[in-house]
Amino acid sequence: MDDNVMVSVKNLVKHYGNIIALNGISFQIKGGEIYGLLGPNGAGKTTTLKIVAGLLEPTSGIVNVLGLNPVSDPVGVKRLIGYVPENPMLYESLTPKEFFEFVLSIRRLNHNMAVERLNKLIEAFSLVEYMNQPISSLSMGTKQKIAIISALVHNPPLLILDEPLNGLDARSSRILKDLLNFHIANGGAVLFSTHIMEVAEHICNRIGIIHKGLIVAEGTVSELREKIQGAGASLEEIFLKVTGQDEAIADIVKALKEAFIK
Amino acid sequence: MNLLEAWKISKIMYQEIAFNAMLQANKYRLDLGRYKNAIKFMKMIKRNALLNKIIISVFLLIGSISPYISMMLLKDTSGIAFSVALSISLLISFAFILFYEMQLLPYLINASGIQALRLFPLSDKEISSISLLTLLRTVDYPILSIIIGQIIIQLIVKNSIILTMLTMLLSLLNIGFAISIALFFSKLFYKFVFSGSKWGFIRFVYTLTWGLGISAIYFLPNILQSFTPYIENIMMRAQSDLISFLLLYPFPLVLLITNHALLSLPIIMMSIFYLFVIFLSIKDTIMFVQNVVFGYQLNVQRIKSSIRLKIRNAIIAIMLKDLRLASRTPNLAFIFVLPLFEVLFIITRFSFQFPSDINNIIDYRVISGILIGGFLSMLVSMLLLSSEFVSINFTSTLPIKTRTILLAKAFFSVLTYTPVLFIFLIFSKSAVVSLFTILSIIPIMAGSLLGPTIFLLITSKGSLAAPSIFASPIHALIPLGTTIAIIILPMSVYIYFSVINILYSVISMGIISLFEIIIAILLLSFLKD
Repeated sequence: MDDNVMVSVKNLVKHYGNIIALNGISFQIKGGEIYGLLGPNGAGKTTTLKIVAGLLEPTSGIVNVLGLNPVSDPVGVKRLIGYVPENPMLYESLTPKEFFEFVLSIRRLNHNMAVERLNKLIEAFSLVEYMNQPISSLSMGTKQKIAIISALVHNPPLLILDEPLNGLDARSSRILKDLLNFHIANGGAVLFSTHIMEVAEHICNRIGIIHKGLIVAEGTVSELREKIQGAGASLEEIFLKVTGQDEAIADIVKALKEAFIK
Repeated sequence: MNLLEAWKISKIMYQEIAFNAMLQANKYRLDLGRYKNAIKFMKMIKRNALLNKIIISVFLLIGSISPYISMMLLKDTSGIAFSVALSISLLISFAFILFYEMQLLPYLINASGIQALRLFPLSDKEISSISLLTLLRTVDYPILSIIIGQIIIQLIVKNSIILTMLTMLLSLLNIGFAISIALFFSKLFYKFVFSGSKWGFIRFVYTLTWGLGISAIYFLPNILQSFTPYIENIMMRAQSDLISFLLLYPFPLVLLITNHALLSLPIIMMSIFYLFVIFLSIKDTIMFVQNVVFGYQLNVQRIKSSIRLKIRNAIIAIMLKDLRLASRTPNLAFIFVLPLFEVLFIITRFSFQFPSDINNIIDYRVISGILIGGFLSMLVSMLLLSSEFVSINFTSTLPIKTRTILLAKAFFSVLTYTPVLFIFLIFSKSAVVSLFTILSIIPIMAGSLLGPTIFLLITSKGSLAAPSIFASPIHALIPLGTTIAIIILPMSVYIYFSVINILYSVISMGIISLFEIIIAILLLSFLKD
């Protein structure tokens, strides 16, 4: 295996009862890379991320994260990653300050370094004024910022972000994007999931298009353009083409137009 | 819009509030990705909300008529006995309504449930009416149960229509007053807890009231037994210094309509004062609820602060987090009342005469004190585990072993038991009694570990995951049964061997307890990280 490979996933399969969530996906992420998993709702993005983060056991397949197996050593993996869940349910009656105290204590970080880093992040994401308010009283975007800060504060080599821009304002989105670029410039890696084409196009170096539990196309945006004959310039068109939805969508829009004309 | 239409719409608003109240305690169990389960889950929450209202109504009915039944069983239908019965009945209704409304009103104040009304073509007046009817819906069954109970009992006991009407009016004012007080607490909770510096105290008052509300169900029979003769005695000795006790709510109002012989100027003055306060508080409540949807009633302040953080050992951090969550979550407020309850239980059992003789150690009061205290404390770890599920999708991303989390919860459980330990250590002069009490910590630690461990092994194959909402109740009963067995077993061994030799029996109890804790620690290794 390449020394620089931080995440390696081979033939990953996950079944939920009769439902096949993942049907043998494989990909690799190297240091200095933001790998985007792009797919519609229910494609298997979150399941993949959870397995890589050691939160879910696969039905079969091999996963290696920074030299560790998330199935046999989930705690070891969690020490080395920062994970932002899709809908982070935080301890709602704690204040952000108390919440960060809890997270830093569990992660056993060096006090001075962690507090300094945390203060910078809190300031960057404009959280200072909310630090003593219960999390339950905060907006969805502010809660998302808390989850993001918790994932970044220990400066992990691998970040796993599940739709991290949900609810974020433009300023915070920009800061997060810059932080991710800084992170990969320092040799870190990011596994990023989104269903928004523009986000994937602007943030990710490499994209894996996931559909019905399979990666149906993979590469940089320009590589994908070359691979998908007939697709237009945008990632959206590439995506619709590889997932076979372009014709179906044209039919739906036609039917809608007819319904509104009547 | 006519009243009937507004009443129909208020049903949806009420369901939203009740749903949110129940959802807060159960949302961790909802896997949003599984829509089939989500629908079932929502139906179940609505059913539980209705069941909750029916249960509280039944409690209210029983609670409000039981003082009269007690009075009739004692064959004492004198004027004083009747006044006492009515007063106790009103107090019980007041406590239950207060307790029940404090579950729901924070969600009405939050107004998120009824904000949606503003999107529809409804006038402000119509929205205000719907808000008010929504509040009424939160207590419709309880009000009905109280009214029915009062009418039946008054007609049976006094057979006076005027007195029945007056009693009914007093009951309605009492309910309105209880709702106003609940709203007052909810507003304080919402306003201060979500903002300013006074929050610690207000939150504590709120959670303590909540906890006492839960305990009220236990204390109900005791109220009938202990308070009734006491109040009766005060009324009979009308000239006594204790007469000032009768100035407390609701005695002056009760005396005003039931017992003119006991009326005095202070009592009349206090009656007028209470009527005035009730009128103002109900008026304020109506105004508030009418306007809550427009969102200008509450102004949550934001404060700026410097950030100083303390990084602690992981187990201490989890315990501190649980302590903070418990102090702010009504569902967990019972934990704060628990040590007080245990101490009161033991002190009242012994009447301050603790065993100092080695032979008295087998005294059933010592055993029952330890059994009750221990069992209640062991439940804390299960309760805290269920609170952990609320944020499981975040907690599971942290590098922490499941066993560490359970250990922290077990230590927390043992902490709630320490008042029992201190009571015996302080009051008992015997070294063997002290040793016996200290040893009792071991099975309590074992039970606090084993209950949650077995629960996780049964429901999620040992991983820290929320159980399915449709999991069989047996999954909760097995760990519960185990914790009972864990505390009973060493005590039984002690009792059995104490017939032969006291010291031998204490040693046997210690060996069994150690055996239990070893099993608990071994079982922890079966948990998944």
